[in-house]
Amino acid sequence: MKVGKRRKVNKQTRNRYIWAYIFILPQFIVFFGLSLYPIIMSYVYSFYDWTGIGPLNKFVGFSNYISVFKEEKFWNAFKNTFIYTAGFTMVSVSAALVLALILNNPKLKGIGIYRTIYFLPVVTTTAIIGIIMKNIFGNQGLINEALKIIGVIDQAVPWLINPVTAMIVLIIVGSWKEIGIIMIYWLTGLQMIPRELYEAAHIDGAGYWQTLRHITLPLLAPIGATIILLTTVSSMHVFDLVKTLTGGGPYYSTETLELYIYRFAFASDGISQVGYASTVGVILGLTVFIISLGLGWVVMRVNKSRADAGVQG
Amino acid sequence: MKKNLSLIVSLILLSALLLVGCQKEDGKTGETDKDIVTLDLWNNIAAGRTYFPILIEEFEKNNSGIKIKLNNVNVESSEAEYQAAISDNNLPDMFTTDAYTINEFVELGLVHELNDLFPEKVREEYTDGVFDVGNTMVGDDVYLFPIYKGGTYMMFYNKEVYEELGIETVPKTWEEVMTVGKEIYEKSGGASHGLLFGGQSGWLVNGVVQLMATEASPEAGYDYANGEYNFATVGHVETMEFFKNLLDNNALSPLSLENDSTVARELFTSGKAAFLLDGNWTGQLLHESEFENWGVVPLPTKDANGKQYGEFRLGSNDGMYVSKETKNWNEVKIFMEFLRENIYGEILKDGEPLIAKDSAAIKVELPFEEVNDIADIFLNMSIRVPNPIVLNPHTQEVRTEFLKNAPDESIGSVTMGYLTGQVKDLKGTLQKYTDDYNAEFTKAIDGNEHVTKEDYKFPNWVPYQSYTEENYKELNR
Amino acid sequence: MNTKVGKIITHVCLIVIGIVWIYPFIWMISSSLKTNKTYLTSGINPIPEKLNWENYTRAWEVANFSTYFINSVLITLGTVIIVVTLSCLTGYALGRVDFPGRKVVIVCIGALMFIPSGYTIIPLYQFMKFLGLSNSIYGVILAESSGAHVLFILLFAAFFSRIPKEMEESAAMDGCGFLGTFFRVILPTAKPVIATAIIMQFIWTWSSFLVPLVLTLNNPELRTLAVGMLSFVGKYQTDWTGMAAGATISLLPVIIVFILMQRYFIEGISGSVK
Repeated sequence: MKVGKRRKVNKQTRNRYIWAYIFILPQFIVFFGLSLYPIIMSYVYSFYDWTGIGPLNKFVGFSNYISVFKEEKFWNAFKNTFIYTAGFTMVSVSAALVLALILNNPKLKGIGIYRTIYFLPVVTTTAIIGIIMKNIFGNQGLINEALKIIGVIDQAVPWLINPVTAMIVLIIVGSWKEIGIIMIYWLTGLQMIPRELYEAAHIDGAGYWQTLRHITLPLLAPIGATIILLTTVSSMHVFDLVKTLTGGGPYYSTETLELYIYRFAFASDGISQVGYASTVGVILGLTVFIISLGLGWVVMRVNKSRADAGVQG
Repeated sequence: MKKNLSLIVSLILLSALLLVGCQKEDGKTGETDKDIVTLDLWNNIAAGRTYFPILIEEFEKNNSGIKIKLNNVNVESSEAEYQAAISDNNLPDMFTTDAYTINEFVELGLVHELNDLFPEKVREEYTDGVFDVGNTMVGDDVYLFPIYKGGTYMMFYNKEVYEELGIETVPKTWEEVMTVGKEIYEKSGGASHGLLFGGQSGWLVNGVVQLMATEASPEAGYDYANGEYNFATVGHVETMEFFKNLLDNNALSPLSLENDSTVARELFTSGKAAFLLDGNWTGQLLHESEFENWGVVPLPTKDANGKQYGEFRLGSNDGMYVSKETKNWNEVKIFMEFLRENIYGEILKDGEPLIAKDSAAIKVELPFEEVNDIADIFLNMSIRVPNPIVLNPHTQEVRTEFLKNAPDESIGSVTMGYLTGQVKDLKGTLQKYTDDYNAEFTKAIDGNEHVTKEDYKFPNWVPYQSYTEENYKELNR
Repeated sequence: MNTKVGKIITHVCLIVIGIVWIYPFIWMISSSLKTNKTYLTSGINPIPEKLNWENYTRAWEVANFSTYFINSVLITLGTVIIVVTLSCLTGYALGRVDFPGRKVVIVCIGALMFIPSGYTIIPLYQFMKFLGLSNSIYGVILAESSGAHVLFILLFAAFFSRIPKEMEESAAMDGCGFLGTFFRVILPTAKPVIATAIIMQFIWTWSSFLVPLVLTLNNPELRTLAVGMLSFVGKYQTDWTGMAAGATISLLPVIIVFILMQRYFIEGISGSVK
């Protein structure tokens, strides 16, 4: 990759450089022309006391930040976001791995149909899923009725009324929705493992489980770290599902940061505080940034140790 | 034709974009007729989706030079839409919204005064209090075209459940709600409960608990005599404990905890509960869904002779605004004059009695008899209360300021927290809420040089009695 | 023999879990054929008492889904074309040409992935207004295409960087210039990555809500399906079965796109990361 810096650039190479700049230009224009201004502005708002309408003229410095940190409900939402993220990442990443291991077998018939089935929730609008699931987990919903018929329970379980079960339901439904796409990531990783390695293992007389333990899983580690990073980052922004499934309840016990932000940015009663909401948005953004830096460091370490071990993907 | 064509061709990559262009120009050509003035009307009143088209059609028939373009705004998203529209002075000619209050609109200079439409003589046709400052007026000017006159909550009962289980009493007191509720649960073998309400609709629980609390504590919510907020009254605590008691004794359906008012109403009509707590508009919605076997009574009271009250107050969503930036004020006026004469009859015909004009004076055939019951319950419940803004307009600035910073709690959310077992120390939680609220209130008053605590005290206020202009004069401020 | 039994067990498991998996969809479709009352009270029974096709008519005609459908198709197609083209070009430049400043661009793009996006739609709206594009379908497409499409750019860059140098060289020998090489030789090999980008961008744009909502304020006839879905929800009244019908309608195109392209999908990602 290293190119001599002082090397004389001939005409053809210069031509290539010019074309490269031309290729990048449109993306550049679209990004700086359309995205930068809105992004910068939401940072600017966080330093203002602003309701969303009227002139932007009450500069308050860091006072929004100070009041955010003093707010009990903010920390509650912060905590809930972490609980959800941790639970969601664990459940969805591991379940998707199991699914991917099964669906990676090219000899399995109907593989396309299975993949489509398990991918289906991914393509559905989350808000609709929330409404459906709310009914399914309701007091007289499908789950309770089914459990009653089987005889596991005789009183309906208040799934969405109890703070602990409400969070569990949220994590399960959230995972169900996203497992399809995470499965695809894992399948990608599985396809990158050279077939010869399996064949060699087979010749050495290794069984399925041994191969899995000693070849498949270690080789999946690097992409696994990346998948965890992507999943964590996206799940910290969970919103639609919480809004439609639990509405943050019971009594704020499933309210996540995005929901908290929404409550202030678009207050249904009372007065919107776009300034305050933007502040929480910036804090969430920074948190995600720090977490991804940490996870990114882990990803690099895993990749490096793999390279050190001399295994090539 | 073009649309069908575009669907097929759009698969060919870039040509799709060109087609969008064609389509857009198609849309434009229809509007360039020069003699016709088009007025934009944004509506977010659910019932308005039915009556506005009827009214507009009739209006356009008689006024060929004016076209009304109705845009039904989604309730869930209207806040975002209005924020964007306001942010660059792009409000439609006329609009209904609950996103902002009348005072905010006037303060920002966004709405047009409507004085010409409501001279003294016209105002007499309206219910007393509609033209109070803070309702449709700011200072001496009318800004909100009143359509409704506020609302209140009441208890609907399902006659089918009554007949099926052979029950007679329609409960008036808390005790009766409990006994009848238990009876219903037992007789139906758990299939039906007594009471039901949409607990996920925060505004509903808020409103109901507040109204019921005023029986034991007329100072509940806001104490007009002392000028302070109070959410930790005996009335509040007793009301919440009453609901909890009902729930523990199977007299309140657990479905109340997880559903909002739209679902609760459907569950009520399907017989899951005998009583439903909901707002005045429910009558019309029940009628619309072809469920006729119901009756309506006031919210239950603790004592048989107990009295509750709510403030007679119009919100932004009870009327319509005109944008200050409208370029067609004359045409808007013509349309509004038409609405002033015709809209109320149209709404009443639909089954909604709480129109801003006195409904008795409008002769239309009522779609169902309970319309009058609902109107009576509202008039008994709602009274005019003191409003600091009448004597000192600067109190509006204080209000905006402290509502922004007030704790994001509400009576409704505490009630639901208590019912689901999240709030353990009810009194403590309510007291803390009250203290935090008042602290922000005091801070906002101190921060405004034109306002003092005295502006909020009305020593001559008598609970359960209407507070009129005479009373304001008595104060001698 | 053992493997045959294993295979059958695998299939049985996959089918049983699969049914549970898509049960919510069966439920959604059956709801779209129920009445609002039975929707809430029928409990475990998925079979509607009679087929209420009028939910679909209501969604298609009264709720204006016929118009919204075409809008959604046009906006999504426009956005997909722009985004995929832009990220493909950028990806090629980054993956293939070691131009001065390449490292800086890559670091910037990587950092962008984690920069929190805006929490208010107001600046975007004002900006579109400034460009004179609010209330037009172009404005929505442009706004949807905004942002740096980090994931796609990286996918394309990784894919292109793996193409053997000989391919380019032989093309150059045949007299192809930079453009000719790209379009005639390189691009046709990138089908899987393109398909991946199309599927993912399609899903995102199809269900995007806030941007089309705010940018079509004054022109309700430009709304998309995701926005139109909200018209079933009122403060006092909700039409669940109409909504279920609407959701079923809007789910169809995405499923079709996925089924058509899923063959390339996994190949697309693995082809780039390998």
